[in-house]
Amino acid sequence: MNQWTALLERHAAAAGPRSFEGVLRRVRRRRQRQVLGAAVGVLLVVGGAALAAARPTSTARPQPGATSAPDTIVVNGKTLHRDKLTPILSVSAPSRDDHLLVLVAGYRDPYPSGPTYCDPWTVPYVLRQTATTVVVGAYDYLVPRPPPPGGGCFGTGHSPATLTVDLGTALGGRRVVDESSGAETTTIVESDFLTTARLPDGYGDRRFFGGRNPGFSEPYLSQTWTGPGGAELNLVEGPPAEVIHVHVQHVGTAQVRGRFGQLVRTAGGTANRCLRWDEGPGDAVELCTRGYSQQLLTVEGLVAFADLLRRPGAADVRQQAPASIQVQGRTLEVQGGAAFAVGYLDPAQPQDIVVHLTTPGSVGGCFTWPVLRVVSQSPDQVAIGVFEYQVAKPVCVDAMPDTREDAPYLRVALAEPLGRRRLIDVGAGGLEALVIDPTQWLTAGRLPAGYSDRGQIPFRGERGGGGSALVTQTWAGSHGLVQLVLQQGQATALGGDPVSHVTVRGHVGTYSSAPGRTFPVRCLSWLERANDRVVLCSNGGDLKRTLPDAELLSIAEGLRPRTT
Amino acid sequence: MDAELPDLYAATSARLVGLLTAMGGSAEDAEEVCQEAWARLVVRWDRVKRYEDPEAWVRGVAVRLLISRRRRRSVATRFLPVLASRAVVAEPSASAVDLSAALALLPLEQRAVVVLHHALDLPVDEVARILQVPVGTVKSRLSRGRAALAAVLSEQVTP
Repeated sequence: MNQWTALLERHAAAAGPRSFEGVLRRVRRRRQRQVLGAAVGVLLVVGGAALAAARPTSTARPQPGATSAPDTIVVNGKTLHRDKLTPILSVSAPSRDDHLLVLVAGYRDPYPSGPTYCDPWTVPYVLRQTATTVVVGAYDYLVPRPPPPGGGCFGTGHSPATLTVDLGTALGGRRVVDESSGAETTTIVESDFLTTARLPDGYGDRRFFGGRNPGFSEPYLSQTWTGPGGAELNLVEGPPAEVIHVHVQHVGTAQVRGRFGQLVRTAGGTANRCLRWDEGPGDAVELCTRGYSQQLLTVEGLVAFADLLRRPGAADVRQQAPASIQVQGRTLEVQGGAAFAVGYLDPAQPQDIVVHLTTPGSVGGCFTWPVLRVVSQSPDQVAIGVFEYQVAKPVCVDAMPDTREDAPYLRVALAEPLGRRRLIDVGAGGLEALVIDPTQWLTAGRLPAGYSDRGQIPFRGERGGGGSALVTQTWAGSHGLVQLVLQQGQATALGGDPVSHVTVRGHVGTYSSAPGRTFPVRCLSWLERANDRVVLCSNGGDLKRTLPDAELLSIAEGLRPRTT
Repeated sequence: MDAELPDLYAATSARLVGLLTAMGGSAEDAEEVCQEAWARLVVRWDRVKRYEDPEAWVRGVAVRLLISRRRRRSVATRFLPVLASRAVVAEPSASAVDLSAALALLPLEQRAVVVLHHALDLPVDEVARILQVPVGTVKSRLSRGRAALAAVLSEQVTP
């Protein structure tokens, strides 16, 4: 039992809830007061009518600006009278080219018997429009009955209503003003935010909420899709201060859409996970899988879903590649771009750029076939992109491929070596890619007997926190894995708790240990140069025994610049 | 009145009082608010019983009532003992007491979102709906509340 559960159960056990009879007594007293109040109300109405008869009749003036909100409306056969403007909580539009606005305001319960005094019926109106401003107002309409005496309406357990108004013309760049406050509202234009063209199997029923808190200049949007067993996929994008799910534990890092992403476990179900990354300056994104379903997305599925997100308003990447290609005798159509994040130089082929993808390609099913091509070259930069192709009508069996280590390497030849030019990742929305020149990084000169490169990705580059470059090389052997992490820029974690120190390559090195999730981990780390940190780790493997410290030190002393 | 109401009350009211106590700090307040929320449920039962989770409805009303009540009496209640209980119960674990005491140091608004989110595992948007505040407000209160709790407990708070 965790602390929170213990806390609630303790308080519940300590409570001596009063009997239900006490509730009923309270209800009876209230009803008696209502009857009495109603009698007083009748007297007041009669008296008021007598006074009105003595005054000239006057036409009720509409509230200021309420040029199109009628005084009365009829709902479910009941005539309702306009009451007050209710605050609009949020305004959104599908795009600036659209003429619909979605307002969240007031209350409108779809009960069959019609509104009551305590349940207003909220109706939105476009009150005024100019070339620069749209003024909207949401009016509460009520049944014409005096409020219940003795404290007004019971309970407030309702949610605001989602209401739609038609501007009759495109919103464009106009600001939207809420008549109830006279202030400009936060208008969420959904096409400014990331969205997806493809959901994981079983997911749908999108709901969203957007807003802007005082003090934050940019709006944010939260989109949630419901999946199997009540699982949810929640995508929040906005200023970093808004995109904060309370996380419980930092789980790891991941490359997301060419960016450095952090993976955290969040409150709730034990499999709840969030991926957090920055799309750009002031534009943070968090993608969470949550709920108590057994069918939550895996971390790999979360990354794959993130990679498929699209920004609707952005220039169409597809136009920068042939519309269709022939692969294995089938015609594939371009679907969009995918981020590659890191470009590797090949010392053997100086004009080539090599990229490594996280998902495998396929000419059938829901998987796409990736193609790397050069989009533009200039003296300052080279733009290349991974373009995804797919058959026109894919038969989807598994819409979310897992991230796999045997995913393809793609290669493209430039007109001349990249040199000092920037490498632009078209599929990542024009983000500058990290360029890894293997000859600039250390590699192992000697390894313990039996150790060799692991799989197809012995050498992997990624962007670390604070924009640093991170290169990881991995070798497998009898004591599990030996991993060499080289970081240029912001220092990375030690890899456990510091244990002792040793001189390594002329620097003071630190041995550290961590129990690890499955295997024990022993690391040796040091600063090779001012900003170049080296972390060399052994994870113990099935023997549950890491390499001896002397062996780690020997590998460290044998590190040398990579030549190929 | 439906016959199921007393049963629902019996099954859920202690839980609600426990939540309100954790949130508001006073057992008497919690019981008073629980009764008031239930009184409101009784007169609206014809409608609320069609809801997917009537307990959630009464909980939302109770939480808002508690906040409203405490706001009105904030000065008077600021220095009330926070762990008062009327019944003899098993000795709580040290961590539960620490957490209770740490919670009591938070402003009520922060305490409410922290308890609803962490203790009841309610998602942020549900907490926002209950408290009738924007999701961003819930997140910022959670962030500040967690930071304050972490500072008091000097350890990571796990849900």
